[in-house]
Amino acid sequence: MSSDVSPGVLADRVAQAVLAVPGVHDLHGGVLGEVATYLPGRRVTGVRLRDGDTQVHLVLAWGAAVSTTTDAVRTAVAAIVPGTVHVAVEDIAAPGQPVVTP
Amino acid sequence: MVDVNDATAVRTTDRPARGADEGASQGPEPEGRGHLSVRAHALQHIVETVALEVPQVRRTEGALAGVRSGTPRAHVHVRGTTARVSLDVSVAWPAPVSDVAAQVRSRVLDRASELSGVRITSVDVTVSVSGIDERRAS
Repeated sequence: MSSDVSPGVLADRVAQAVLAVPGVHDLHGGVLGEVATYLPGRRVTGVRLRDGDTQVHLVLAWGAAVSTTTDAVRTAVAAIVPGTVHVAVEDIAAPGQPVVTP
Repeated sequence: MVDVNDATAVRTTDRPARGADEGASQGPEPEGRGHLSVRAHALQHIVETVALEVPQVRRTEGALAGVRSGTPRAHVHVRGTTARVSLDVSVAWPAPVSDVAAQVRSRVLDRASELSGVRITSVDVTVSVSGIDERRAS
């Protein structure tokens, strides 16, 4: 994790970059909603920053191939935070469900 | 490491996708790239939606919450990076049942494998006939 940027800013940047990848429907907080970056007064759901690695949990849009989309997510996140990027596909959105915009 | 403690999630470090890019992985080694996990729940949704793409397959709503579930309903059994699927679908009367079942099976094998990147080894399809016979309804 870069030391010059605060974790909150970093998590926001990661979340925005992930949501901008085509085929990503939304971020997902995991089964119990526990996957998040906890910040003073708020949290960034679906992104967990730790030293040396980053976890991204997401919901894909219908029709997006898992392997190509997760590769794109990985590339997008790697440009922001160094280290390994772990991607978890939690769910697939139903066809016709509107795409959330960040 | 991903802290996925759900035993039904497919976890893999190498991409299981079958396709043109097989063996053409660039970038860091698989270990350095990080994990990819696909929840069984996600795979289940892919399979159910793919089944609905077969023309004669109908969506039915469940009744008596938890007693009778709606269709199409998939059960996914994950082992390693492969999955077995059993699937309940409904067709409207009249329909060529074995034909529909074969279509559902081949579609799930092709399209759901392609979309999810999870290798689906077997698909068991159960077809039930739903809906009211129009002659009786009148």
